[in-house]
Amino acid sequence: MNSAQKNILVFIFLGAFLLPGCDPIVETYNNAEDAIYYESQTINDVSTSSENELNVMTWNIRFGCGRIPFFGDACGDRVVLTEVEVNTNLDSVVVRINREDPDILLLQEMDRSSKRTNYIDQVQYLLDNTNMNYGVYATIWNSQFIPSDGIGRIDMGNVILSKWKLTNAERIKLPLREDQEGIVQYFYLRRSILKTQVQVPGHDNFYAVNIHATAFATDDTKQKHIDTYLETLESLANEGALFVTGGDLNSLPPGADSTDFCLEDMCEDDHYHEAGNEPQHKDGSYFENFENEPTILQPLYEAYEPAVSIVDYLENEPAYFTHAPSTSDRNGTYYDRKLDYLFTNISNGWKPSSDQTHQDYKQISDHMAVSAILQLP
Amino acid sequence: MKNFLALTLIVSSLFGKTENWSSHSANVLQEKRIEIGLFQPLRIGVSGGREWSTHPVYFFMMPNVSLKKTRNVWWEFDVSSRHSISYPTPLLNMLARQGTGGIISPEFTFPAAVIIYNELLFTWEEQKPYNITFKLGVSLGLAAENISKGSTIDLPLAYHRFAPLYNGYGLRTGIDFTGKVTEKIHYLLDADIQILPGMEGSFAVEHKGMISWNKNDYFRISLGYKLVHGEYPFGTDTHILPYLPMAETWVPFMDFQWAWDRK
Repeated sequence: MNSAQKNILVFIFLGAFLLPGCDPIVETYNNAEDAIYYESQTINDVSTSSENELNVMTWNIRFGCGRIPFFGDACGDRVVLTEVEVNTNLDSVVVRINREDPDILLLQEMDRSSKRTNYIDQVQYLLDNTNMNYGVYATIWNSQFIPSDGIGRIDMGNVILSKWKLTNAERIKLPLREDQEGIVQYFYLRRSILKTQVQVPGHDNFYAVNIHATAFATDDTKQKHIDTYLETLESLANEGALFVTGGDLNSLPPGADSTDFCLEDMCEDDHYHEAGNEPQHKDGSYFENFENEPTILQPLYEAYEPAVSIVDYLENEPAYFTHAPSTSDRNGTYYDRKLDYLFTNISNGWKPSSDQTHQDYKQISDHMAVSAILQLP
Repeated sequence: MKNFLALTLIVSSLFGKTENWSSHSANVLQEKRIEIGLFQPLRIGVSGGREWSTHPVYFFMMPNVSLKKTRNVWWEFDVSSRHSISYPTPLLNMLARQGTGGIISPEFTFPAAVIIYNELLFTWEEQKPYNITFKLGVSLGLAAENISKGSTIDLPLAYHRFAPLYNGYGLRTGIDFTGKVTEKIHYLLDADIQILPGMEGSFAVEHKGMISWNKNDYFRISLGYKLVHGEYPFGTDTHILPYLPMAETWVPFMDFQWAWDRK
């Protein structure tokens, strides 16, 4: 072999060796994949916790953004938060979690490695600063770079935290929106359901399931998400498992008194509902994009037990609203709809009158937490 | 058009500051020789052992100019120095915008700022047909006002190239190894290290492999790749470039270069 041939071989070798170094810019996923496991730096003693009465809470914490006017959903122009802003907001979340002291916590919109939140791993942050011991994470938006509005690198997802060990954690893929152009869809959210077994002593087949369904789709993607969610829950129930589930369903309870919040949510200079307006409705503020969207959660209410019954809800809707848009101050009301839920398949599983809609969390997120006491058989 | 120019900038940066296409070396172009490539700078050889260059494609977004000048022979090394200055403010402000193509958040506005880069090149040609060049340089970033670190572009090449604007300075050293497979087929292997003290992403190691077919002294086609292993605000990462997002595959970069002699 002469020197020229050796040079060619060196060149080819280097090229072949280096090729595996490239990761996809946008992560894509199979139908079901393992979730990512976390553990607190300090494992807290859970022997004093009741193993038959679990305090369960769900909360969309808005990636530690608090009420900062973020560009995407708050009529604002902020995109990249400072480290102090994120830590301050996370500390407020920590205070509420420690005050409520849940045994199982379903969280949505948690950032792990995102430019907008200074790359702070919020899952680890909450684990290390609360009484929760274990966590699992499933991303809903994971890209090395989003070339829009300066978002940059992002990894946001759903999380389940627990005082007890979590096993068999699974990320279940939800369908992509189909009302977007290909390039937008490629860089857009890839939502998921997070399912995990919770090792509560004496209950070897107990699961927690967390979902964050689409907010802004204008087609029937939301229906597909709820259908996948129902299939996941039904599958667990058919296996004889007990579960608690919930999350930000971005859907209204059946019978809600309004399905159109465009005028309440619209920013200055926005125009909706008038001839010539395009679009006619504000994305995420209108709940009649397809037939039966207003009753999309009816099957969920029929199959499982809600922490807040539909009867209680309809008797006093404002008391159970969990969403407060950025325009709340302008409108003089902080809460305008219920989007966040807890359900279980345990018969009479919720301790009567134990449910709370934490509307006092209004300065920490645009979603209010919902909690209730679950009684295991 | 702006997106095309931004893309061209990123692709062109894969090539770094190349010299005479026959070698990455301390040598400068012959007087009156001009070279230009799709993604490479326009280079002009002038008298006095000097060579001027600029990236014309994005000159209007980021005005830039570079001067390379031969120095004395030191031991067995040919020595030259390269001095460049660029004004990235218009480019960065163009990238800071709402909507698609917003690489930087529009909440940031960049003040007047320049990046000055000075380096020495030492070429050892005793081992012909091989040619080894050592490089050592320092970059300085000068800005009229402090620039928020939230405005960094956390991507390979871009993060470390613009880092002196945030950090004030950076150091760079590297080695280029060029040779001939045949008379018409040449190759380049290089490795560069950038050190950015005080930055969250404080280093980058870049490696480039390129093979060129020289049709003659006035036209050539090059194919290659660039590997970047670096530290960023989110941690360390490795990329091989160019990378096609939706196809999820690496593809070799390709460039066409032309040269001619002034009369």
